[in-house]
Amino acid sequence: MTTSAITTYELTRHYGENTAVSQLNLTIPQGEVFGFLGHNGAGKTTTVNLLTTLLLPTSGSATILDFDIVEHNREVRQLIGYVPENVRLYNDLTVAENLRFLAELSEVKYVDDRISQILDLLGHPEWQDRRVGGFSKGMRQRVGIAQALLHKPEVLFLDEPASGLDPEGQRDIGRLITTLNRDYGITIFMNTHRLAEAARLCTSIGIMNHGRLVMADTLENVMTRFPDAPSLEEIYLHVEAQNGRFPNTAGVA
Amino acid sequence: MTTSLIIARKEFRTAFRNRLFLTITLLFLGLSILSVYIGSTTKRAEMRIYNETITNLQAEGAVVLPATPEIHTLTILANLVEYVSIVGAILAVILGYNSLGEERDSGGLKLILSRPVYRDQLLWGKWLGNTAVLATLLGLVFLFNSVLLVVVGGIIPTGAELLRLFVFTLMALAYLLTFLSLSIFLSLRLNSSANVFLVSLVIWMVVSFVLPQMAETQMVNSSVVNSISGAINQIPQETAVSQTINAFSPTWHLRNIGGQLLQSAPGSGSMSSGTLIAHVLTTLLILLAPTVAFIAASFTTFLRNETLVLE
Repeated sequence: MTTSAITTYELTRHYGENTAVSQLNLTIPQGEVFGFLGHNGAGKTTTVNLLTTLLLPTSGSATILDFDIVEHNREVRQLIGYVPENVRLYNDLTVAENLRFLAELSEVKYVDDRISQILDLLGHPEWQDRRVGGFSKGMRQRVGIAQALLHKPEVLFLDEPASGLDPEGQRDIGRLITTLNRDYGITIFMNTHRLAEAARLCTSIGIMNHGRLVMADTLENVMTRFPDAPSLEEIYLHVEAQNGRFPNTAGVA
Repeated sequence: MTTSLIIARKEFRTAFRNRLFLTITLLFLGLSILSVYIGSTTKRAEMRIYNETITNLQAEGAVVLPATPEIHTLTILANLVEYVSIVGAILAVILGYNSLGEERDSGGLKLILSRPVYRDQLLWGKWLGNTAVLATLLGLVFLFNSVLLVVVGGIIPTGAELLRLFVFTLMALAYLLTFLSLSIFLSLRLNSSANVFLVSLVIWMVVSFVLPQMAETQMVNSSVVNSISGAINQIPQETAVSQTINAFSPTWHLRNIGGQLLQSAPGSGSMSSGTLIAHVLTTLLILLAPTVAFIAASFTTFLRNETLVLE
């Protein structure tokens, strides 16, 4: 029997009187690349913050590989890797020093070996002794993914991983995500606005609208459900329109 | 290694790689050279004036000669008190602001807290690391000044004098911790790191300059005749009101104990060891009190407000 990587049950988070995430019920099997779509303020980042234990739910619950995010948050943190939208490392430290610091916090053994392995995986072993201060956004994003992989996580959370990257950077991050999922079996939970990226990389998607999950299914099922839609973008716009976000100009019935 | 120590070590390493911090540290050490040079020149000038006065009086046939002025070696370092209270305090504010305020704004705290790290471990690590940075900096200043006394001042300090300088270094650390803890606390209370820096500096200016000036207006002057020149000097005397106002100024406490330890304050040369030790312990408690209060408030704020790192 396959254990689900992520399960949420009526997961809800309020900020004062505002509801950021409302009664989210979601099951993501292990080995998926899940694309979490939605407009700005839809509740995607709050959901990631809840699942990465950075935030406590107001009500409801969630588990990562059967560990409750509140009761067993320490175990959850050992199982997950997290890459925020804007990865800010310590500019005055080298890549190796940044990674060593974060690896030690994750109680990684044989830190130096692990750093070498990860940088090899990224294809940039020469970055070890370079200071992060001079890095471009794309390079930082790669180091951001490296830090999330140090402790061999089973579930990786990525918040807009390709945001602000040039086409080459987007392609490289996409390839890396595919490699991590296909070759290392890591379940990926990815917040994204890039629908073409989601269509290319994801095996399943969820669409959030004003804090509510309005659709969640495998990409194959979604595409089958809307046979007239030429792309995921059209489907997304249609779903958003159905939920009052945009006028329905998508041409999808 | 425990989590807090891992964080503390990182804080230490990043501080000594930070250009702004290194620039101010070099400024601090540069001012020490200037301080010792000015101090030793002033003392030599005082001795020269005294010797000339004695020679003139003896030539005029005077029988009663003025007593030798009390010139203590450590008075050469008297300006150190001012440099610590100004440059050191700004440095402490920058450390606290960089450590939490800026890191929170940049999202760096999220990377740490998505790992098996508890918030209290994070805060302790930050505080310990930056305390170690300030202690190292003051240790360097202590060593640097001890060497400068010999090299620039041409004076070999005694063991007792080195002990006084060391105790002053400890008092200075207690003083700087006030501003480090203040800026850490403000980093947790205010939304913008720029505001943290500004509010910390305003508070520092109020306790360092405004309060002592207010206290000065409440002092009374008494007249004292200078034994060498014969001139009448006005010496301000503390009143109950001025003492009460100064009690709220850590900077005043540092200057006060600094004057006594470095023997630049009037009457400090004749102060007994017992009285000095009592003053040192009392001042240490007074200087540490705001630090304890700010740390307690920081923990309360950080542990209660779980959305803080996400804002």
